[in-house]
Amino acid sequence: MSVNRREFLGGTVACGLALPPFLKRAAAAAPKADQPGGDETVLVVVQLSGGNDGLNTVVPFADPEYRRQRPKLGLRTDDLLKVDEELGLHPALQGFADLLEQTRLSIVQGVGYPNATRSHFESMDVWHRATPDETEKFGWLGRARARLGGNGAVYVGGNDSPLALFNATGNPLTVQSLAEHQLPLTGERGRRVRAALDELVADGTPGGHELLEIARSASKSMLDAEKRFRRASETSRSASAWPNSGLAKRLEVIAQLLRADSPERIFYTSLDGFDTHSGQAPAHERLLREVAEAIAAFQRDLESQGQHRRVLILTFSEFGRRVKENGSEGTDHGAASQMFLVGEGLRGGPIGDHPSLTDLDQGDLKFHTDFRSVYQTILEDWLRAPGRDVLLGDFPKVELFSA
Amino acid sequence: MFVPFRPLFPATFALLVVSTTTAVSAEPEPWLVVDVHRPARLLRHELVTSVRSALAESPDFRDRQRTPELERVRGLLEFVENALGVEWESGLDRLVRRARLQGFDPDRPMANVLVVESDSRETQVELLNALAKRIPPLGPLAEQVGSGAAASRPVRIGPLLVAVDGARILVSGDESLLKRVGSETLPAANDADLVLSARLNVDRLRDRIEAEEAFAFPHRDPGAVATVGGWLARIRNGRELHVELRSRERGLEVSASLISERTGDVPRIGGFFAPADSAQPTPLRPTGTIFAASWYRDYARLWADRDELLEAEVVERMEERDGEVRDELKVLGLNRLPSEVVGMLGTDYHVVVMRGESPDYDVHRDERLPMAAVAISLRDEQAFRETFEPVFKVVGLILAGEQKMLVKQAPHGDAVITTARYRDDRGSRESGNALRYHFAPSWTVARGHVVVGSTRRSVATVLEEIERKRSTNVEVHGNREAAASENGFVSFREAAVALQEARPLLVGRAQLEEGISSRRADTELRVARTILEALGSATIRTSTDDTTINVTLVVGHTDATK
Amino acid sequence: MNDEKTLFGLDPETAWQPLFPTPSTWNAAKLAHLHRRAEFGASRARLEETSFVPPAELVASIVEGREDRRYEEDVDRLRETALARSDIRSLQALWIYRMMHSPHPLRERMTLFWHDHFATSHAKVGNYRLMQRQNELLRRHALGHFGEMLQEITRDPAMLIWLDSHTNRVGHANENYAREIFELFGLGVGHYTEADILEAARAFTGWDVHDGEPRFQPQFFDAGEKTILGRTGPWGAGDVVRIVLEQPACGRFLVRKLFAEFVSETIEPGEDVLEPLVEGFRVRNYDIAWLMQTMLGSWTFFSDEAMRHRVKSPVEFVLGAVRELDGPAGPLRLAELCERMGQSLFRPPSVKGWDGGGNWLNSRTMLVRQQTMIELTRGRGLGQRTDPARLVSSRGESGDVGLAETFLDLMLQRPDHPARDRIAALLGEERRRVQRGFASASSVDGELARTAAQLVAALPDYQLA
Repeated sequence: MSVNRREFLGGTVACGLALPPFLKRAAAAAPKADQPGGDETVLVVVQLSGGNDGLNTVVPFADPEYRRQRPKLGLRTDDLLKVDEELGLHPALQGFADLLEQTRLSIVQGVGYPNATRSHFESMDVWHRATPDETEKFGWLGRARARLGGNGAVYVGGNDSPLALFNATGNPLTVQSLAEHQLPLTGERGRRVRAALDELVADGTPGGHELLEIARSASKSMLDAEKRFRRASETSRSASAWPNSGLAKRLEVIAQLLRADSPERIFYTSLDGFDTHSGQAPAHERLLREVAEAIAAFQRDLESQGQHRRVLILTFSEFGRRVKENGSEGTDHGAASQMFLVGEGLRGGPIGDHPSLTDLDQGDLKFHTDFRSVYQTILEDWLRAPGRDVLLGDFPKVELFSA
Repeated sequence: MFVPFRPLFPATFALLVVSTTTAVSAEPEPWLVVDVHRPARLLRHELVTSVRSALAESPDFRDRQRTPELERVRGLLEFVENALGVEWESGLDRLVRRARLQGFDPDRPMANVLVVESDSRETQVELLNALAKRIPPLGPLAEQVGSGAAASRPVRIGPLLVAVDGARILVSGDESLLKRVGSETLPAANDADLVLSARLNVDRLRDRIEAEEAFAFPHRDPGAVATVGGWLARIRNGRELHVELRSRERGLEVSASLISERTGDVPRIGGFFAPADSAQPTPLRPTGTIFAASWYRDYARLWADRDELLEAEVVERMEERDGEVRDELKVLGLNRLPSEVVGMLGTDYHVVVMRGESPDYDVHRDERLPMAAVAISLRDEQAFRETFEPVFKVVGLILAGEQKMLVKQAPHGDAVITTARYRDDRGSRESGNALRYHFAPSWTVARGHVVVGSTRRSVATVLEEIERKRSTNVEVHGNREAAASENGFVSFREAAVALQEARPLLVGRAQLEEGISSRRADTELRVARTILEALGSATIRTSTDDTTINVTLVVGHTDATK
Repeated sequence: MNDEKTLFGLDPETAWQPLFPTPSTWNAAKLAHLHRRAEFGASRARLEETSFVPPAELVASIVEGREDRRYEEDVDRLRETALARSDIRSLQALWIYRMMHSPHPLRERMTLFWHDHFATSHAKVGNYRLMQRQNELLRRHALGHFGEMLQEITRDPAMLIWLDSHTNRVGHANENYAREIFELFGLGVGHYTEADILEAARAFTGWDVHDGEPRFQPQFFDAGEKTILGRTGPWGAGDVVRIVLEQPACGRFLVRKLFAEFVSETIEPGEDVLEPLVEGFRVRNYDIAWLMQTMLGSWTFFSDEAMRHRVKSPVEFVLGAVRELDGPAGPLRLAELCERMGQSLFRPPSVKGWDGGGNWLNSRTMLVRQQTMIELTRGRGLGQRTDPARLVSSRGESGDVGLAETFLDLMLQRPDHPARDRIAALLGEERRRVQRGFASASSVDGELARTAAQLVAALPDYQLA
């Protein structure tokens, strides 16, 4: 099927037809689509803040210990969306189950890091820096983008942009909505003034002192970015329906930017609320539904754009939660958990075993895969960035992609 | 009558007779007729002149007039001034002695005809000549008229046809209508104060397919039925709408009547308007009232009639919800169905906003804000009190806990008023917006009413007013016209005083929000007060009988007592 | 007369001599430069009024300011209003209101400088009244004696909370304030050792905040001997401040910082060039008013290497626009816009203050700068009182070149700017479009004035002060 598509796209280009940009890119990406990680690959990170209860996300239902540790919160086996004979997805993850069916979802199990901290902030920082070294000022994706030919990164969200994206050259672009990144110039007059701004700034004779030069180049890049955002918001919204949730809205912004030919290859957004110390069941269900529905809609949109081959989605949370539920029908901070990967060219299904529910580390699941191994695989096999330089160390790769 | 016209009159009258008699058969009737008589009178009305002269003192108003949109209007007015060589007010007066707009087809804007009659043919010629300079297609028209022709051939400008006939200009998109209307004469106003009268055929409007939905009765929406259902039923039933604007010596009066004679599938919506034989809610207007509204509504009856008003499925859901809400409200100590609670309420609803003092807190605030209260009459005061006493206790506990308020009860005559106060110890003062020290939410059940207000004083004042009305207003019944269902009252004069009382707050806000100095803010405040004082007060009264809803709004110095 | 460039900066003897006004050294551009740097800019009326005053006299009057009792009473009331609203935006707006209306704008400008210098954030202090109190302290001493300001800020409740002084007790010294008074407030890196910090931290023990007031509690004070910057004694907080002030590095540090803030961000003058200022500052007991008057009146200040050699901070940017366009404009909204441009008053990013300079400008902040200018020149909303249309209708300019020159002059003091003809051409096209219907000549000019102001504001030069 992918061959047909490639031939089709390649053929059209050869015929010299004027293609819309997304098709052009699909054509450019298609030849490498068999091998994940063409030059134009994109990574979208979805951060699940607060510590997602991995044990109730991908459930080892066959293990009787699960029900012993989770007498109240344990999910009924019949309700689970079966992955195999031992594992089932939370019933709210229907979107993920569908993706699993299409071999577009991988579940990396038992992910963590040594001497894990149970503090939200500290642990989140470790995941962002990808090193426990507190003197490291920058994040793993910040270091990565510095090595990806100066490509920027976009953070979509209301809060400050995450440490993960920082590097010495400065902050990533932070976007809440496409509208706020546009100049309020509308109508006939607005269009003319807007065009005049381009002319005036482009026209300025270079020279003058350094500050003037900074002002000029900042003006130029502002106008370029503004144009991009304007175009992104003007492109017709995807025909595929988006659910009405915060995460869906943020992913839709990313989809629109991709459609508008954004040069960035790293996008980042987050969903908060996973710190479920009490009354976990309804909140957790709502959150997981939001995640699965939003990511599934994102996939559909990418597919309708013909861009699904170049986009890999990664989810993580700063830690999992305690195996044994607490007295208030919730769970406390834990350690190892799973990461989800969504995209084409993945091996699909669970990778690695579910950690034992009896061999625990202070009541928490033990990790068998360092999260930096996943990072390293993505950096090298997907983004084509030097993993060792970025991660400040060497980690064995995980078999994420189909050969 | 204006002398030069007299000789013409019989002739035009004859024409009118001819045209109306010929029109009987196939000629369409207008669905909309708007007549205007000397509109420039409005500009000279005392209310308008005093507002305009007050506005002239406002630098902000001058600035605000410089918006691109208003610049365009000003451009037009400047043009009139230049064309006629007079300032625009009297130019307008000379240009528009009478005017009539008739619409013949609600779906075709081109089937409207506008007739404007000027003071004299000379004015007309002057204007046309000037207009022709700006709008070249008018040239031929100006020429014809200038050459002395009594009536011109229509000239086409864009989609419109323009014709001149004597001192009248006619504009329409439809040539036959233009011809037909051109031969009609404009009626004189039947009373000297009338400035505008409009007649709208609701039938014709409703018959349009796309209007069908707008007129539909909200059978699936209980909220809409409860709030505007009666109005919708009447409008749905309506045949004709009349609107009149009169320039009275002491004020301006707008009246509107909706005449509904159609019968049909409209649900009976008893309980929405006061029945003719019931006692109407007498407006509560204690001293210092800025705004008061009172209306009649019988929710118990609306609930009883639910099967007729709403679809069965919706009714079923509401009944279900009725039970659920009762279960939810049990935490508050209320063990009644909401429908039962509605049954305890009477038919009189009052809202009063009045000037008042701030409640007694240690925090001193320079400004004084108005206070507000709502009163609802009760069918069974005793039952209501017994039902809600535990609820009020629980609410008090919640306020004390979550909002950190102090809840106290104190007698007022034979009533007991409960008041929730914010804490004003040092720690509380430092956190949170200090404006809250203008409020101390209070409530009581007494004198056949439940009263909830923003301060204890507001509740007490309303109680006293209820008592006063009760003792003095007994003789009102009897010789009444149509029962008023809704009464509204605004005292702009009291609002002006309230504005002055809130000055520190308003000036501070203007400084932070607008950046203007306190001196300039004071100027603006003075202008606003002058305008409010000039407006006096306004009353709005809605009355209904079997066939008609009448709404009358009067603005001006019509209310001498308060 | 020599070309000022040969005099500039290189010669300590002449760098700080008062400017001698000649047509080439003292003109409309220089006048606007002085107002822009010292007073957030000036309205056309103010420029016309001060153009007759000799520069030395004008600088003296700017430093001196005016007294206005009504304004002071007004602000006292407004302060309570703002505090009663209990949000940071209102405090920011109060300050912007003062910058806009103060009869002594340089005092507000200096207060802003000191806020950046003693950068304290509400994010940690968490008390509006204490933040406002510190702001008043900075204002009180903004043009006074630095020594007194440093003594008072050391006991300022917001500062005590900000740099953890309340946890600094005998036996458990917290170095935070000790480090910053050396590194950021008084001396600069390289003029103290880690040992000095440890010792000074002991001297600062015993202070905390009680009921909104600074409080000294002798039982938590470390009364032992300390050796700080070579001086040994049972020093307390006041002594450390005194010792800091005695250091020659102190004056140098401040003069250099003020030079970058008020004269030029592109040149790094040598020690010898600054020395006359440093010496004068020191012998006058750190009299800030003297230093500012000398600096602002000097050849160097008016040199080409100073003019437009500073990036406008967001606050300077919005205030400057409001002044040029003869506003006022709404402080609450302006405060919000400043925050989006990267400068949230009372909330500096760290104790180091804002990075400033070229760091103010990036694609995102430039967007907000342009959005702000469009809002201010729209003739409604925020820009209701800063309508460029008002500036032409009252003067009756007409013609596209005339309009372009008017705004290039008003906003950049360069009527002959290279972009003039292009702007005029764009205005010409626009004129043909709007000149339709019943639009009067003055309303067309008004509409074009708005466009002209928006275009000039987009020129890179406009980002520079």
